[in-house]
Amino acid sequence: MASDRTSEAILALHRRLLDGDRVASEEAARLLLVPLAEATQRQYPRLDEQSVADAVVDALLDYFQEPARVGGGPDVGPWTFLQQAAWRNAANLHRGGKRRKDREERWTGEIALSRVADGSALGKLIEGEDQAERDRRVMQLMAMLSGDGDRAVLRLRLDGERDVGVFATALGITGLPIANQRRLVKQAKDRIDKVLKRGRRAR
Amino acid sequence: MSQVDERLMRLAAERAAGRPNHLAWVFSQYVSTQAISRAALAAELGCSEAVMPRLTLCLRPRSERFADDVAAIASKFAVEAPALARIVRHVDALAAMAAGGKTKGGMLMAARKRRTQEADEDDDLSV
Repeated sequence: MASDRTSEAILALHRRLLDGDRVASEEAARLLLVPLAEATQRQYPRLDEQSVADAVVDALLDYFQEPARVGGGPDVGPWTFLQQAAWRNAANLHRGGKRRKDREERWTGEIALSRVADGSALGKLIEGEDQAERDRRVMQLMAMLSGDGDRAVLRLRLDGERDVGVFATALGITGLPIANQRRLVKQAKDRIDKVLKRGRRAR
Repeated sequence: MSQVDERLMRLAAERAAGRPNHLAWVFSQYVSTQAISRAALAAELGCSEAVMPRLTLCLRPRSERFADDVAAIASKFAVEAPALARIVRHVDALAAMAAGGKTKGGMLMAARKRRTQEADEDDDLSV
């Protein structure tokens, strides 16, 4: 980006946004979305296309909300400001994706090592699949479960939760004696694993 | 417009629906409260559906410059200004009611003023 003519166009749009022009945002989006996405993809070549698009779109919409934030430092024009904002968003998405993957890997690892008999099935079902495939599978599994309680339990297990009390809270059974809570939590986990195994056989 | 360009514009339009400063938010509220389709909204505005992603990326008209802002948007995208104004006012009124009638101006204020005038007339009659 940044031929003189383009820089001038960006500055002109920036001034219009500052003046409150209601249609300048649409023009700025048309002018900037693609070059910003290209610059962000170059900066984060391993980041998937969708995350790059999310990073860029959020940066641009934030800018439309408060264009006066540009110019906080010397020589920081709208283009540089937007590029930095998009890169920051991309970095956050990249870190968030890595964190989620680490959490899942830790969880599947723990489960595989665990003596808890009901745990290993889910771990084995999900481990080894790549991130996108895992996300898709998790969505499918959620849809296959019949109740909100079971979905909440699955979500907690994917987050690595092991505490029976947390599962009991998700199931809304904290008022019951501890032994009953343990039994119902185990039943919920068994139910989930049965659905998962069935789903796997159907694939 | 290239395919990438179009895809990004569509994504931006979808995301803008979560931001109240954009027309995307106004339209999203309108279709949801009126239970109409996007196509019906486009027809009401007198434009094609293809224009909608671009139109929704415009910022919503400011209350203090409402007529000018509506006219600017309507002229740029060839939509019907009265329809656009009515839709924005409708959503503003709903938002104001949802917020407990707190509004800086617009329909609810106008309604209060008319009621006051009627009350004045009643007072005059009773004298």
